[in-house]
Amino acid sequence: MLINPVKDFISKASIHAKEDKLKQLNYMEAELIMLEEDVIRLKMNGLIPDSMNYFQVQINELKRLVRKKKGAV
Amino acid sequence: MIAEEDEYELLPRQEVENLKKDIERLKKNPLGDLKEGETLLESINNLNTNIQRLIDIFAKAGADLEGEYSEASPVEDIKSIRGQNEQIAEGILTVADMLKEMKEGMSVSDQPMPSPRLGPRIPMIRPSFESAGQPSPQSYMETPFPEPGNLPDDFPGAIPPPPQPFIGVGGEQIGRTPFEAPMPEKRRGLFRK
Repeated sequence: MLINPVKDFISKASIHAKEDKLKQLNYMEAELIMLEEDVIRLKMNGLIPDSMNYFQVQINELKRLVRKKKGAV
Repeated sequence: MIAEEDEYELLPRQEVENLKKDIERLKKNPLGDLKEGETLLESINNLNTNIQRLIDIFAKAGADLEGEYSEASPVEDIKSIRGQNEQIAEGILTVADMLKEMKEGMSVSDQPMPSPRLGPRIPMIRPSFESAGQPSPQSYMETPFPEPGNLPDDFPGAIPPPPQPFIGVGGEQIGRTPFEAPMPEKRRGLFRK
């Protein structure tokens, strides 16, 4: 099999870029989970009213987006 | 001497202080307090991070390629390619030979067929039936065929009966005899019986 350095380099670079992207998305997902826990703790302490679901909705939306991006990668 | 020759003017102290403050502020925040300046700074920082990530990715890809190419030996690859090319060439030659033989065979078959060889002639001797007391062939031809009913059961010339359709367990006929013509399928509609 003949070698094609440019093609090999680009394919390798794309593989590494995908890995890097996945790592970044995982990091973002972990941060969102931590944020969700913070919101729950604040609600338990009474600093956020129970009826206020704005943060929870936003976090869920971001989590959905991150999952979608991960699926696309 | 030189300092005495330069032109200069006196500035009020307050103005000098203001100028010094401006210089300090610009040193601390070179892009100013505007919102565009902040976003510009943030954009430059993001660009730096992304370029750094890209460089990392390229460095990893380069390292991977170096590792792979150091393991691979191009000489072996070329040898294997040469062997494959030899096999392909042999195959092409074989196919060409086969085609040539086929063409030759076809050209031979197109020529007129030679007359069949005549074998040794066998003299035909007519047997004399009358002399042996047996009936002549003409008498065989004149005698009528026997009636089918008179034939024995194990007569070899009897025509076997047509295959009967297989009768299933419930008395239903399964399959068709090969002599029956296939009947067109009945259309089953909503309003047909």
